[in-house]
Amino acid sequence: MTLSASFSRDECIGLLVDFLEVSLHQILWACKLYPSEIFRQTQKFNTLVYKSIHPEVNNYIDNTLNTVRNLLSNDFVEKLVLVIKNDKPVERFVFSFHSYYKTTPSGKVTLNVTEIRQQATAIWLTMSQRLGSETHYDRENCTFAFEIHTRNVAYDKMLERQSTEDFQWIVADNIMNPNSVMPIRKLDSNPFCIDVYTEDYRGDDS
Amino acid sequence: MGKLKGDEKFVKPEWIVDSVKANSLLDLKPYLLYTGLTLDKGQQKLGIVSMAKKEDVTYCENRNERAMVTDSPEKNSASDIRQSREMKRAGEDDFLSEFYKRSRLHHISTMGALFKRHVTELREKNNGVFPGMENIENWKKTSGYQGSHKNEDTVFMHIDMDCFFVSVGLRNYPSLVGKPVVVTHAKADSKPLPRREGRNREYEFECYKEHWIKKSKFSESNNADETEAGLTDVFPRLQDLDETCSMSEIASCSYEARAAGIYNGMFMGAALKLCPSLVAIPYDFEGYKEVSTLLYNTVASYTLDLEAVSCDELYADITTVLRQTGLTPSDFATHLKEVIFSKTRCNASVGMGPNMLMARLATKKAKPNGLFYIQKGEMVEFMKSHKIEDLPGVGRSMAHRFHALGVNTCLEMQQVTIGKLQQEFGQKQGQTLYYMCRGEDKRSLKTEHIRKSISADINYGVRFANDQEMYKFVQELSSEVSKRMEEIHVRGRLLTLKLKIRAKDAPVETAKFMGHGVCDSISRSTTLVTASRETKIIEKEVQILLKQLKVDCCELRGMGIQFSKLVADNVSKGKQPKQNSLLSFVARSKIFPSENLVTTVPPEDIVKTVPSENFITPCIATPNAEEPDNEKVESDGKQGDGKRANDNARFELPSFSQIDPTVLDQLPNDLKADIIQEYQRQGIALSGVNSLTKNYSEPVAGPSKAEAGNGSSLADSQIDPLVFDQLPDDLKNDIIQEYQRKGITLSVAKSSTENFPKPIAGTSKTETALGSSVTKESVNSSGTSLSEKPVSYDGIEEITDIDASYWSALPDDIRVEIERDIQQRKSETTSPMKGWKSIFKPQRSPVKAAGKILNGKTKAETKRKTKFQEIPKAKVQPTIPIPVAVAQEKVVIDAKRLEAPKEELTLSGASTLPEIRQLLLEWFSSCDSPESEDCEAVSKFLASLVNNKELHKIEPIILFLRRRSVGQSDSWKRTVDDIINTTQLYVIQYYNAPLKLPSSFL
Repeated sequence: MTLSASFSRDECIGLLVDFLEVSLHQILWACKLYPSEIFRQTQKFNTLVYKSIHPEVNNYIDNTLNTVRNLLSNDFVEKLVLVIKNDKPVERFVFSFHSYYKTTPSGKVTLNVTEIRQQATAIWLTMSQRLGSETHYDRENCTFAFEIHTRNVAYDKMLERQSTEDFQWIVADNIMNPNSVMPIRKLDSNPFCIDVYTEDYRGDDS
Repeated sequence: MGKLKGDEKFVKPEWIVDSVKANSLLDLKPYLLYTGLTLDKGQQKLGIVSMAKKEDVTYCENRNERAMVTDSPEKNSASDIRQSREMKRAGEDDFLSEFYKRSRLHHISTMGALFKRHVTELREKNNGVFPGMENIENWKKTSGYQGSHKNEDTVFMHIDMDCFFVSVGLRNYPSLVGKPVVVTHAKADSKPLPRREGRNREYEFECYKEHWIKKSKFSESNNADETEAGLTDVFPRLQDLDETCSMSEIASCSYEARAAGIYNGMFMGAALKLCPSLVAIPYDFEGYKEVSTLLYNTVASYTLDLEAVSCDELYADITTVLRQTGLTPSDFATHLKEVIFSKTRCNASVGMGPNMLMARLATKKAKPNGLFYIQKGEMVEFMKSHKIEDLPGVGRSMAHRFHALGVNTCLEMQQVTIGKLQQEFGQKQGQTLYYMCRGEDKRSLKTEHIRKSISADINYGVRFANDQEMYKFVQELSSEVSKRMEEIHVRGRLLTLKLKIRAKDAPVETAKFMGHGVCDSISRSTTLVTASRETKIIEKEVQILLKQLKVDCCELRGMGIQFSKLVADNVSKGKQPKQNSLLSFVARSKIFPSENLVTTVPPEDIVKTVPSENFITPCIATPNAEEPDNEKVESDGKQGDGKRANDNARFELPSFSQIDPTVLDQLPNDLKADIIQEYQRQGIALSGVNSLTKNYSEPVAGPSKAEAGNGSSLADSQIDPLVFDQLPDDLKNDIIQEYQRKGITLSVAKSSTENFPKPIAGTSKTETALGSSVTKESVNSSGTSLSEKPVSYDGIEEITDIDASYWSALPDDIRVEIERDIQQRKSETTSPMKGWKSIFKPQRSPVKAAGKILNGKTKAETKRKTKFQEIPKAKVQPTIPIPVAVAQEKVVIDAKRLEAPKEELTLSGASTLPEIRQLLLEWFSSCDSPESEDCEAVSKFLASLVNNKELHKIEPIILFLRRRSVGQSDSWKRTVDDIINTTQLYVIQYYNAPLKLPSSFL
């Protein structure tokens, strides 16, 4: 049985941001950057996911997502990236937005909610599975950060907005080319088309 | 009497006598013999002229009867009240037009814009001849000026009419020249007005004060003294107000009135206290327009380097004029002033200087009726004496902030560093101020006038009793905005609704009659999908915003609709592209001749008839193919009739029987009416609806089908997958069932339901329908018949006979979509190669790329088609030429396949991993060494996956290839390595890094 529903632009973006939020928490949990005590099990789309309960981490994520939401609804976001760094980037989790909304005469888009849920779930499962099986990061030295890839115009607007907000974005360093890329999966259901993959900076140790 | 012309007047002989006595022309009115024939123009004199009270008679005009009545003062005020009560309330009929007829600000502001356009038009029309130059020559002769002055520097001139409204008004009242005169809506009548219930001026002013203080606290210190000082700065007029005096503001006052301490913007009541002999004259908007036009035309006859500021104020760059005539700036100004006065009978003051700022300041010095020229050397000295308030852009509020800094004059301001100014007033303004106080001004004339926003605001007379009134008002206001946008040929994207809502502590009845009183201002914006100026769209958006804001209509005191992000209509391209795009939209849902027709008419004929005959309005296409035969014949007949009857019709409709009644029902009423009307016009009975059969199972827009020469299986390819996608599930099912009924393989239909009825699917189906052995000829023939269709599109696109009302009835966003679509379609139609190439562009037509590799699939494989293929459907544009290209390409490949049937492979058809594996396995086992084109096909398939950002599918395929190649010959290994390397190159191209692959397998 498929469940479809009409979504306005804002609702589409809301759904997308929800998906991103869960994904980010899921990555953080799977990377074991933080002790597992700060995560709680919870459910999204009938799937077990982990969510941080650390206020500062959550605050950071929420602020980031707010910016993303703003950019999505007003301007343009090409990518949202979660970078895991150990001085230098170790791994980058890339959410590359090909499309997230389609203009329709009615202003609403019909989503295949079931499909979206299934794909989102698949992405989260792949994430935790993939990361869970890998050697973990050196928790002591690793940090994480977010990158937003956008256009100049949107960047200028962001700077303007920032003067009124206390969450500041800075210009990112030049991004080195990764050693390899690894696909996670794609969220691809009308109108969303979001590519999720990781960029690995570690050398081939094998 | 009856023979009198409207403008002839009979006066009593006393007028002459009295005029001689007074030694000036007295006002005619008291002496008029027959008042029924006055020059009264109704609205204009509405303000009621009450002249010198010593005459003890006032005159009141009743605008409805257009007659003049002499009356006692008592009755005057009574009728006056009645009249002011006649002021319409928002929500009543014609409020808006009435409002704009009377609104002073509206007239002034629209006139400013009007003349900005006027100047632009003059500039466009100008042929290089300036008739004014001749005048100068004549004038030089008569007045004996030499004209040998050598002018090197740029000279700007600023012309400003002296108390414009009064000067113009006085042209009708020569007797009042030299008296204190003001222009205002109210009468110069100090009779107290009766108290209105519920208002309380003092209380309201307290409210204003409180609100102001609250606001100022954000920006300034809480120092009470300072705030008090600021209050007197901002509310200087409060002290001269009491309960009863008129709150009508003075728009303009003569110099005589100014001498008595009256200033523009003062309340009439207060002014009368200062100067009891004050005379009020009404607005004369026609006069203003006339004088302004004269002024602009006069100046434009010398130079077109003009910048209109407002109806009575403009800048001109007179450098060229001075150079050509050899006059000094002052000589030229004298001449110009003379000409202006002779033409307009109004005085102008002229200031000149080396830049716009100096010219403007010079005008202040020149007033009234003078001229002043500041030379470059005098600039600094001249600036020193100025107060900061004299600078343009420094208003009361900014002056107050300067006073707080201890800066009162420009000299003091010159001591302030630029950094300090910028810190205080912001980057840009600080800099402007810094230069301005030194008399420097780098501005040049703004000759191109670009509107940033357009709005209509009404904050007067807004009192709604219920929501209906409010919405009615919204409607009027929307059409006003729409009208204004239309006037200057723009559309807007960002709609802002500005509301004034009575502040909680403000009295219900305002001090100023029908004014807005103390209000909270709120505004909400919404971005339209596409730029628009349709009244209905505006209205709808505003209503949505109003609902969101949950406004209590009774508390509303003002409303404004503003549009920004303006987009100019493309005048040069005009309407042509739009019409094209509607046509293409129509073409999309075109109906092709039915099967039955095919059997009776040679195919070539069909192709020819198609363009002229069978396209219909969007949303009413239903496929002929599914009609029962008998009905078919009938409908064909009708169609023919309709066509003949309709040859000259602007918009051709299909036979009525082709229209699905349910679809018709779903159409907006106006469209429906249009369609039905059109049919009636064609003489087709409306009852035809009843004869429609249930068989029209494909109601909505796109999925109209073509039955071309090649038989029914082609029909699918005519389904617009985009449209199909959008169909509700049950409709899709219907369509599928229909296909089943027609014996088309279920697998095809199934793939359709899964959203990918690509054109390719259509062509490959042709194969299946024609049997497994695909011959070159059959494919080609399908190719050619297909390729004819674009031709028919072309034909349609040229037709200009689309009913404009259909087009305008469409929402803007649809139009844009259609336009875009048509362009795409066009470009692809004209160059099939382009379309073909685009196959390898990931976002646009990935499916086609995949489909291309699928070429060789067998019928069985087609059936297996599942999930994976659907991925990129959203953006696929089903265009006819592409399948053609694919079909032809396929012929080549198929030829090969026939030679080596075992090599079916090429991942074709197989899109799921197991299928691909299966295929690859077959490939490996088929021969000892791989064929190069097969490798290519695999590589291309993988590349298209990369293009399509489907990395997660590539990985297992590559791994599988590697595993399989382990036990194979060297040539196989090489091939696999090649494929992997090529793919990795692609990955690097897109992701800057290769795909990570486990290295253990090699």
